[in-house]
Amino acid sequence: MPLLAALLITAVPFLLFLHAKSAPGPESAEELADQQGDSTAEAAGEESASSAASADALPGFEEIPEDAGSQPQEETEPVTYEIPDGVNSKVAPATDYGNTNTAYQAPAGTVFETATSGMFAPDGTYYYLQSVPDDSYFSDALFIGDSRTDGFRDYSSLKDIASFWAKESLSVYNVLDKSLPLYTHGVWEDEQTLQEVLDNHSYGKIYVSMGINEIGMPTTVNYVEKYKALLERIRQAEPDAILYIEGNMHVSKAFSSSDPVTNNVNLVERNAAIATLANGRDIFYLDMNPAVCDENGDLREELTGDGVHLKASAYELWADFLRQNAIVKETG
Amino acid sequence: MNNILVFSNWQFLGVFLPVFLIAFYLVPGRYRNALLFAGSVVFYAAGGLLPTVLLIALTIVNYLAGCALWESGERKKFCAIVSLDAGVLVVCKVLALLSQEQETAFSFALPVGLSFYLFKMISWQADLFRGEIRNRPTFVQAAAYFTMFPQVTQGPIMRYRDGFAGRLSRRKVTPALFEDGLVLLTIGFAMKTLLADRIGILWNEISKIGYESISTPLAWLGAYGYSFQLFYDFWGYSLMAAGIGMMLGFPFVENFAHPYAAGSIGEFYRRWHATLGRWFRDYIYIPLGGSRRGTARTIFNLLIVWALTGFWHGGTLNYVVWGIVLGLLIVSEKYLLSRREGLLRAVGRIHVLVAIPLTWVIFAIPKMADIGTYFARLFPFFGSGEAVNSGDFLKYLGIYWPFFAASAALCVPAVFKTLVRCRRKPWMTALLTVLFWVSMYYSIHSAGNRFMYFSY
Repeated sequence: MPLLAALLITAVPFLLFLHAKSAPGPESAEELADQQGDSTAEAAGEESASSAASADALPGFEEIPEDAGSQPQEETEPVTYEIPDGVNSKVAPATDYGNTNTAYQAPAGTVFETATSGMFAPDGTYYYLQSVPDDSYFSDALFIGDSRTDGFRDYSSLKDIASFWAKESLSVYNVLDKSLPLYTHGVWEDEQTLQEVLDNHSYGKIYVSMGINEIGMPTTVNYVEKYKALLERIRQAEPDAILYIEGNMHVSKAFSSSDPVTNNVNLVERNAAIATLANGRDIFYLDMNPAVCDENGDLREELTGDGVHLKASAYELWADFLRQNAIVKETG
Repeated sequence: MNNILVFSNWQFLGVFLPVFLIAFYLVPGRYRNALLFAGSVVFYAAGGLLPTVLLIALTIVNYLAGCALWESGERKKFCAIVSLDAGVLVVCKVLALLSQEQETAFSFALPVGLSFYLFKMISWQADLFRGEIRNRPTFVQAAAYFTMFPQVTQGPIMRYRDGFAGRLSRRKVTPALFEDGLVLLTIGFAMKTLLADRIGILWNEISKIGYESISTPLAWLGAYGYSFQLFYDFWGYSLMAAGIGMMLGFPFVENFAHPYAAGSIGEFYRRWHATLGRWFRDYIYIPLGGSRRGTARTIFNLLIVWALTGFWHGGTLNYVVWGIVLGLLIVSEKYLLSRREGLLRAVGRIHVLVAIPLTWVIFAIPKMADIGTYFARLFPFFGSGEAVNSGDFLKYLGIYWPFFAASAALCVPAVFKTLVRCRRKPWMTALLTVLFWVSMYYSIHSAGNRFMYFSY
């Protein structure tokens, strides 16, 4: 029985190979998310990321110490200021259907410092969100994101105006390492890392949107840390650009009321956490959910096919929101 | 489902199956049916307590009814048990349909394999009634037949006498039979995991975009992608089921005989899910008179059979429409196209290679309005869709072309037959070994893609 023999013999190397693939270390988390995002649809990828994590079997994932988030940041001097309304979007709320697994949220009592204070030089001016004068506003804009940005690139009217560096499996855990093709002003460029994109091009505005892929990764504290590191890297390469933190789009009621991890309670918690990174001077928080959600904060059913992504015809709502909520700096 | 119920999960292939096989081979031949019954109940229990209770209850009831039929083959008793079995099927399907439609608090999931095992039970009663079963079945034989795990979730709908009559009942397994079963298991596993699951992502993407926003080329690509996905998912499952059956001493049960090589839709459905087609032929079509009662009656019989076939797949309207459309196409082949010489031959191939994928679109999309939207993209005579990305076809073709190529190649009978003919060659053994582990790797990392006929 040759096949039986061959399978029995090769079973051992295969099991060793599997074991090696799940070697301990934080890289395993991105690797797993990477493979899953690359080889399957994003929905399936998120599912497997969250189910792998929730099965308690995410191998080798480091234990995050309880107080990691609330340790005092290195600050030159504590700058505290009240950002007035209208500078940033409010974090859009959502209904809690009582099925949330809060294991990936920040530990209770975590307070996120407005951690960017002191790190970026405020220039003493407050800008308020307003409508853009015309679409040329976006000609020096870069959109960095996951599959939702991917869809935004393919189906919104900003497609050939702005620049896009996005892929369905993108998350804060792999954004600094991945090499993706850049789609800029209607033309595809070769694969490049984010650093290369920023070094070789100059942008006036940079929009960041990611979070749904890593919703099942512990915890929000890590998410904010990585997000902050990303913003710092972008700021180093583009000292004058406006940075927009785009809050994660909510999911549909069907998803939110049944899935313990990919639901709006967890998404809102993550959005509120990254919203603290906005300083109202050159980093802003945008939340496009009011444009696509119903009164319960759930993504409207008619706008989505799978509950997680917008249908092609709905992306324009997102584009219109961005047109109406932008920071327009007077030049000169 | 992330458990032993899905053949392509590691929990089944790596745990349940090896453990069961070892027990099966250690146990003397005369106890093997009992072990099969016991093991199958354990297997099925992974699907939940209530469905398991229902399966066992129906097994007992059907066995008792069968005994009564054996004693005195009264038509009344036969009608009673068949009505009961069919009634359970209809009620469960309707409940499942209702719980989907309304946003009510009540949720009812169709018990796994219900449609399949009830059909086996009905066929058993009919065969008993017609005197086609020579030896009186024991409880263990009947129970093993109804519940056997290689067939309980999605068929094939084997006939009792094809697995439990005569010396087959001794469950003798030779090394050659085992090896052949293992070969088919591996081929089926690879078809499901490496072809069906991969190309199936395309349909997910199209649903995500929204049918109104796909370009016409992408709509066609999607229709063929879904057709390939369904084919390799179900053929893959059937090969795994047949292979496991062979490892247990059952003969090979053919469920798919290269359907896309057929010359007409009528022939296609003799080759596609053949055991279901034969069931409808033997237990509905022929009892209704088949083609022996004149043209009008034949047409009526065909349409009834196809409407029922549609409903068997699912209670939503699109399935019944699917069934009736196929019925009409088959009637047109039988009575219109066959009039002119060569017409059937020419049009028949187009039916199989173009019309059938289009009917799968009806099969795939539950809402009639959405079906209309999709067909408007396939045949864009009334508009050009909303927010269509003109680069979408090339984008997805670029990703999926290898899977389309492999799928198309395997549709050619000669390709598959060659693989099977060479199954003892060392290179084939090496290839199968590689395919097995690659499939296992993808299966582990893909959060359990169930077989598509799992919900029927």
